[in-house]
Amino acid sequence: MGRQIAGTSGTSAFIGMRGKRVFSTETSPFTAIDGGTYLGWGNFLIQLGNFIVIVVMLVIFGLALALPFPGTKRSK
Amino acid sequence: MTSRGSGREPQESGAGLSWTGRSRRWLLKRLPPEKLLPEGQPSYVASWIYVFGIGAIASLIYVIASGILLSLNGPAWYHVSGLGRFVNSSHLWSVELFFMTMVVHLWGKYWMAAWRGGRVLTWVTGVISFAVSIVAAFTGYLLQTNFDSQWIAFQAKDALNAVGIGAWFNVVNLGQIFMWHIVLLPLAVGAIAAFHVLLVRVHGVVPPLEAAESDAQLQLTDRERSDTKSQGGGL
Ligand code: HEM
Repeated sequence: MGRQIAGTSGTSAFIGMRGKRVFSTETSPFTAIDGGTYLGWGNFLIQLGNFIVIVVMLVIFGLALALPFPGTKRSK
Repeated sequence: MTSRGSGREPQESGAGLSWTGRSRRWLLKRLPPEKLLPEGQPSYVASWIYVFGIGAIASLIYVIASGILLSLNGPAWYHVSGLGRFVNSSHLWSVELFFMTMVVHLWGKYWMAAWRGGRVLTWVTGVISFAVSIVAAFTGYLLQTNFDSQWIAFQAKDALNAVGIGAWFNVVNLGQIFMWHIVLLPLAVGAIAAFHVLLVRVHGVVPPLEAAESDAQLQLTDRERSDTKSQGGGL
């Protein structure tokens, strides 16, 4: 994506279209690379993000059944 | 699906009509305007569990709108600029929302056996939209063009080659996957979801299990089941 501008000294290698630095560690989308966090109980292993999503869905499902719907009288 | 409806037709006046006329008659019979855009719903629809289908539609609209922005500006924008990365992230998070609302919707429909009363095709189009959405999300992850997407692609290519489709759906061909993600799969998800919702309008919302007697279609299919021998709606 960045391109080296001909004639620059080359220390800050990649220069964007408008002269901004394109790949730096602060702005790079490639910073958060690690193995991820895993939770385990016995044989059961699950990645933290997946676990959160499933728990959130279960909670929303429970709330959808339990909470009264606004604007209606629960007659039946 | 529901045989020919011969008994309910007052006069069979379709004889002299062209195919456009016959299509119009068929469409108006199946989906008259008051069923397509109803002004009221049965009282049991006043529950949060019926909101998740619309939640999935709303998320899908945001997914597609943000995706259009991304494709208009390209990766040199959405991988680099602040606003671009914000739109890129909101594209991902709306997909998360889409899947969460779709899954809660699916659970709701499963536990109320929403395929009852001739609604099998609604369920089946739901299943298909779920499957196609997973493929769409998968191609999206491949477009991150980072180590994650490289890892995903190289894990997936073995599976896809093993089932014999790797030559046509080549996960290490970024250009091809891009086209699947921004053209073919969004069109497919959109078309299936639209058909799904039209089917809901055609059949009307299924009543809860305890209120099954309140549904004309459930009664009708019961009668049809005893009239015509078996063949009644799958499952
Ligand atoms: C693209 C994803 C989907 C969208 C946008 C969507 C949208 C909708 C909407 C708006 C409704 C009517 C309102 C409601 O009851 O929530 C509905 C009903 C229904 N959905 Fe979905 N849905 C999707 C996926 C699914 C999936 C994955 C399933 C199950 C496998 C499913 C099964 C059903 C069934 C059976 C009904 C009919 C309920 C009835 O007749 O009352 N849908 N859907």
